[in-house]
Amino acid sequence: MLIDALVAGHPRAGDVLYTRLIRVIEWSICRVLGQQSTEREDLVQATFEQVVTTLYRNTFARGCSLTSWAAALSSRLALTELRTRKRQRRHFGQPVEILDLPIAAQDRDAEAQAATRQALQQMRTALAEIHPDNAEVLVLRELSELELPEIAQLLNLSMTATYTRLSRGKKELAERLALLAEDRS
Amino acid sequence: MKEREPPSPLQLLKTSEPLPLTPTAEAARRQRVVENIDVLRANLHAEQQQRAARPFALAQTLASRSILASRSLLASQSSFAARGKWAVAAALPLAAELGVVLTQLRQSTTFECGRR
Repeated sequence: MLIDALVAGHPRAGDVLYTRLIRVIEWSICRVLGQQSTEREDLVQATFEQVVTTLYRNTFARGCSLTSWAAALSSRLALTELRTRKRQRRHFGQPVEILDLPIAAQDRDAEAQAATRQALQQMRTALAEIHPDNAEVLVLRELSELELPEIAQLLNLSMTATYTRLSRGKKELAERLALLAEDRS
Repeated sequence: MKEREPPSPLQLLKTSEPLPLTPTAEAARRQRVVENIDVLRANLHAEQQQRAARPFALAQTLASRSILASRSLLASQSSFAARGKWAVAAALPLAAELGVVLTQLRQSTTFECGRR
């Protein structure tokens, strides 16, 4: 209904689309990149642009929900941004990592806060290092909490391929985290 | 008994919540995003219409191209024929000259042989 109104050029459709999707887009970006990401606004804008473009060009899988589609697009953009940050850090040594702290951890003592920050940073570094296809499935399953059949539909994959990517992503992530912990110690 | 799956390390990232914007900032963002969506929709709508009109334009282009192609083929054929004529016209006197020279050469050789 909303999709048809949007494509038909209904004047209020853009506003309704914003209301419907802003929350899921913000959460997806925030979980991958962190609370204080400087690119948050740009990525929100880019996700909305991609949603609208895919709706017009009929590349949206209508079998899945619009919110899941938005979650998939925003997660992909956020993961790309995470990898770009990592490359920039490696090549230019830019201190682009902003160490945010979950609200739940803000009332803990300084040592616990530092440990949480470090764990978050390691997690994001590991996520940026694993294969992009596997990372995408992993984020959609673990962070956006989508079901495997829906992820398969969103990414136009078979169930077997989706499950394989998820398993490989988990394995890769565990390996990277172990390596990072080893480096640290 | 079903084995319980260990918690994913990514669970930690789920604790990150987007910091809420002030009502003014939120309203400004909504306005900016919706305006951009509307501009994009207008562009995509124009693109769609252009795409819908494309088959007709393509047919016209192809038709004109086929006319042009046949014209250029004719032109190349006629220019080839003209060039052929010129080549034959230039080659004939040369061949005649060569024939005369060869005949004279043969006669002189025969005479020289007979004298011996």
